[in-house]
Amino acid sequence: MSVVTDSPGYKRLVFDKELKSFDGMLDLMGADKNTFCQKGTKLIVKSPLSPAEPVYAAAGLAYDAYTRETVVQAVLGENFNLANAGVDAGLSPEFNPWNLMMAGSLASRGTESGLAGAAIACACWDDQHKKSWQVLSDYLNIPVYFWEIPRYDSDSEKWALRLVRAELEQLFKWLEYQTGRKVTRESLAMAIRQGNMIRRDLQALDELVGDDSRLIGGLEYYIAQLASSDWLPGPVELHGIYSRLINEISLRGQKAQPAPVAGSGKVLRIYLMGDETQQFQLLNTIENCGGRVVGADFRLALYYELIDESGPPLDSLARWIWKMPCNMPTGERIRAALPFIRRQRPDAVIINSTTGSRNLPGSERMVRDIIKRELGIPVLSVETSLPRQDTEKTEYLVRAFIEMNCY
Amino acid sequence: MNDNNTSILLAPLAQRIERDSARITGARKAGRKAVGYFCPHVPEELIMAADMIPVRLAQGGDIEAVAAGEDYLKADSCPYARSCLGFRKTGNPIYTGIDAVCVAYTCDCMRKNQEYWAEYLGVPSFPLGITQTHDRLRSKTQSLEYFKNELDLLAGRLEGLSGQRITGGKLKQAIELTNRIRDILWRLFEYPSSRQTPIEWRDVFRIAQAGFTMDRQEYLDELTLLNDRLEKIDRESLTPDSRPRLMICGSIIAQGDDKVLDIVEHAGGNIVADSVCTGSMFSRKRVTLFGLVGNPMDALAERYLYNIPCPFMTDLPKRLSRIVKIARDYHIDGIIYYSLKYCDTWRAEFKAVRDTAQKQLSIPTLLIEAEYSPADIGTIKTKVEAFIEMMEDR
Repeated sequence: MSVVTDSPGYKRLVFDKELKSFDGMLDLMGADKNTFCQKGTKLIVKSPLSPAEPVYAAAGLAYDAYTRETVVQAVLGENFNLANAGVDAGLSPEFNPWNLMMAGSLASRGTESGLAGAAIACACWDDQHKKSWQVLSDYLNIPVYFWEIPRYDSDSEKWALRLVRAELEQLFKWLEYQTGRKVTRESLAMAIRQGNMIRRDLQALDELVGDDSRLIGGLEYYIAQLASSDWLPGPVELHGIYSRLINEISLRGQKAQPAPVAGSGKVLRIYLMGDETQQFQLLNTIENCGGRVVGADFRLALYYELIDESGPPLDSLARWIWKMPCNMPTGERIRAALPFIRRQRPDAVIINSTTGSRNLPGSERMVRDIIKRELGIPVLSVETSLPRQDTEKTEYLVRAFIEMNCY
Repeated sequence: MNDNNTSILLAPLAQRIERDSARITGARKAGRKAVGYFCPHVPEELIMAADMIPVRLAQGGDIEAVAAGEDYLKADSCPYARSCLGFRKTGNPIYTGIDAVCVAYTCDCMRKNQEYWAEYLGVPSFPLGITQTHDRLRSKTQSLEYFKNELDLLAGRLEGLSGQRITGGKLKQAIELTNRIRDILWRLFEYPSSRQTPIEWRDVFRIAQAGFTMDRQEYLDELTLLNDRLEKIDRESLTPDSRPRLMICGSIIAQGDDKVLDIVEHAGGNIVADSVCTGSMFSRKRVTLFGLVGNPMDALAERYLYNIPCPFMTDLPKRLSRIVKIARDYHIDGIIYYSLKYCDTWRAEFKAVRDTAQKQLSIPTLLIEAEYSPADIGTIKTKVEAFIEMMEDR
């Protein structure tokens, strides 16, 4: 039994236990971050939707504290009281539970966080994360560096890209100070190549999850996506884990051997949008009610397209960052995501809002309307919070939605 | 205030709205356009230089508008942001009497406002990109360059709307007029730094807000008249005010959002200073033109990027320094920290403000979290009364 499979949260979820290569992914999600650090390697926090390339180009190890601390403490450990420690540290109790759990988990360990610093992207997609790190910088006594990503507006391209480039150059200097390793053209190009490797893996997973035969469960697909943000335990190692997973799933396809599935008969192909949920059981619920997850845009911004490897790496990275879908106004963001959604051929969309989030939930109505107009498929909005909180209501909504649209 | 109750500057909000909306309607019938803006990072000088009417859309405290805004933003968005959309739906004449809005890309909720105004309310909506990490020592050059270009882009969009060119001359004129307004407002906000003041902060605050919708020249004339009268008052003859001296800082206090101010007043507290974006915060920095040789767009960019930063920006030390300075200058006994419910950026800074006030000034800070509904009046009243009682015992 591993730490993960022993955890109370794990026992409440239904995993595809026949998918042996997924064990590596699960262990990765439940691991203590310090186990990733080789002697002298610095662990640098990054925002969940900002690219990991700068940290790896400086020979650091990126750490998505937002996702990992929460998965370990809330989803698996069910230590919900840590949210209060986040409030004690200075966060608003109205913040979303991802930030509260992250802050609470780190603050409860005080200056023993094991983190060398945090490079937090200031963009137009998450005020709470930025403010959480403003608070945590004092509490954890670690250096926090804010770097700017200006909003996407095609009319601003010339000067916005100049700003991103200048911000990246200064970020590199800060990273060099933290890690002792200079970011060079070569190291950045290497990090971009490694990032693209991960992106290709995610694209391959999307293809597999959208396949007509059910090759991978929604929960496994979701967790695999979550692991993509910081490339832990390292880009090459993560690529290895993804490759094993992809190979095993592809093999299922070749053998016409679908994943063990809950229920039978007609299924409703569902694409998930909005905020990531801490209620991992939502993925089980969808399948128990006759749905099947065929894609999700939660981390799409990290692999929406490959970074150009042919041009100057700084320019390519700057352009790619500025055009990340999460950096776009809602209308353009959804229009940029539409080809990816169409490719998964969903029958319906479920939009998740996390209680206390203001960004994606703030544009929920617009997303719903655009999806209905452009794709002509039904959309359900659900709101989730900490694991095990008000799950009955969500289950009821999902069940009714699937029944109504499936038969 | 002494003997100035007849000034339009201090007329009740409803009366001012009626008057100003009639003026705007008349001007629009005559072919001029009115342009609204929410956050004070938008230079109204640009709107004026394009021969349009600038209108700051900063009303609040209305639960009907909040509810109407929930057609777009969720109920756990800040009530001010919901109202910004809701007032247009409920037919508020100021919000329906505009031809376009300029929206600075500040916090999450205001960014969504820009999108909904454009997509759902059918109003041209011009976004203004503004950097968040504008630490002068680190990134002045690139931040300023970016913001200057964004202002140029906005200027072009405003020219397109009005059909008028924004010339250097027109812009300088607008800057000079706005600077004169700022100068007088600054003087008014300084009166309450003395216990013998001819005008209370609450009135100055109302006067500052009256300017959001008034004609700029008329506003300057009224301010000048008022200030001339105040300057003639012999301050030594006034009875010193002995009530506990309070400073209010935090989220936007919109026009009509009087709940907390009324409670403090009734509980015997005396607010004498503020650090809120509808109060003194944005009248304290002029646009510097360096005589007549400076490029006015450069001057605007410098002023609007480097004024007191709103907490969507990362420069917390500057905000704290300003709060400490005001508290010292105004002999503050305690701070009321006003956080609109779900205003993430201000709420996250409460602890830093409280700790700094305690450490550097040995004064307490009271956190008030409020919605626009009357449901929380009782709780707030109890907290404020206890706080003021504690001040009186000190």
